[in-house]
Amino acid sequence: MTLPYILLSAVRDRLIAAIGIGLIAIWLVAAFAGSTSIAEEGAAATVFAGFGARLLVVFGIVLFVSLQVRRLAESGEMHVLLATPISRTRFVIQAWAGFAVLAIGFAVAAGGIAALAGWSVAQPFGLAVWTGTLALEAVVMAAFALFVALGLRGMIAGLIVCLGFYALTRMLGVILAIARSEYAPAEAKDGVVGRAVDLLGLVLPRLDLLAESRWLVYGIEATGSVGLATLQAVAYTLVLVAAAVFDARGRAL
Amino acid sequence: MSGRVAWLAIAALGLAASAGLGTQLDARKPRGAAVPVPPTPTAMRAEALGDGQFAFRARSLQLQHLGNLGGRIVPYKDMDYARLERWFRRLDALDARSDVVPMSAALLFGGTQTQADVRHVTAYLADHVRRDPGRKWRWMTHAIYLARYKLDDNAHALELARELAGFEAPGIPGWARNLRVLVLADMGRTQAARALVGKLLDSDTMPPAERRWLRHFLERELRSGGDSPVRR
Repeated sequence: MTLPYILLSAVRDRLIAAIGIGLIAIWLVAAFAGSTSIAEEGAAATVFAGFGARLLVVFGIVLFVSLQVRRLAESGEMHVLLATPISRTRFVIQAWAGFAVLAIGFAVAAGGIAALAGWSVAQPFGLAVWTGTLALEAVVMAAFALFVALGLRGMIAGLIVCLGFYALTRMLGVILAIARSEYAPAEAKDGVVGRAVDLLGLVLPRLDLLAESRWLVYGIEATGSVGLATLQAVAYTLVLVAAAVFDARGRAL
Repeated sequence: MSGRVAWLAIAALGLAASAGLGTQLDARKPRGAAVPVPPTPTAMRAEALGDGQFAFRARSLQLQHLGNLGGRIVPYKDMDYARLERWFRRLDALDARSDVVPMSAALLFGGTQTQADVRHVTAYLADHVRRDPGRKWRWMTHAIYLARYKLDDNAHALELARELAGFEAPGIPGWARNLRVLVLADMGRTQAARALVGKLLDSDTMPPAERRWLRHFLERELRSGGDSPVRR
């Protein structure tokens, strides 16, 4: 699954057209909703567009990865591609790289829509960092979807796992805040639940710290957590790609 | 062929039934309080998949339309201002830099004629300004105006005016620091509104939306000197 093959499939499956039309629809709805705000209409429209575009990009790439892998498995091409351990490694890395390029392209388009919705780019640096980290978020999800699609035979189950993972990683900050809240029950703080939440905080990437809509309005106020979250997402992508290679190389055909 | 027609008829009947039920639903009055209990900032973040700014913008829109949702228009006098104040404060916990919430509080919900309700608005506005007086001072001028002319509480208005004068933050203009004059002078309400809005509109940095709403506020205040506004 090389980059040209993936791009061709994306065109053939109308993915690029669907994402393009979806982004335009999000732009229009966000511009309308933002214009009804009593103040800061541009900021509201930008934030609404950014939120909608983020969901569209992530769900679009996850769905596409799952479909592509499923299609290869059903057509028997997967058996040929995975015939030797070396070709398996190349297959996984090429596939991830191809999906990653697509994800980055979608994220750049999403950044354009977020900027357009507000009619002016109030925070060019914030927008650039938002777009870059959204691309990273989509790349992580592409890697996760590839890992799941190669490991799980059922596509629907795979999609549910991917969307559950995404919701969990996006809400990880909220979950940690609840567990560590002053008013949290003792069980949630120090018991099994508390330890499980702490473990989740360690093993899952903090996607909620990437592409924060606040940056589109106020720019980057503190760079510390952005840099760390970015590094964590890069490391997590490596983990997912390595896990997918490991799984593919050990898999019986 | 007749089988297909039968299925088409079933589909048409289903559509008609759905439309009929929809009409019934339309006729039902919306349930629930005009001002629901505000969710906590954590709950709002969770609903927005961890995106606090999206939660803030979406809920601010909801706040702005409270009392005017679900096919009903509720007058300000029938709204629960204690809950509204909780809405203001919880949204501030998500984003205290934005001016959307103080603007809704001062220029929309400040339109109430119920004095006890105005106190919730002035309390919120004063606390909002205390967080960042250099950037937010103008909302204190609204709080002072509301305290003086809606609450008829000169002592409270003077207290707020003194506080505004005492802020050490740069950027607060001289006229705002001297708002005690507005309180102490025997100035009529419409005259005071005109003077305050005139001074506020002089600012070069005021966003167009706020400028527009201030003019609307002034028109309402001038009108309420005689006629009643729609949503008292």
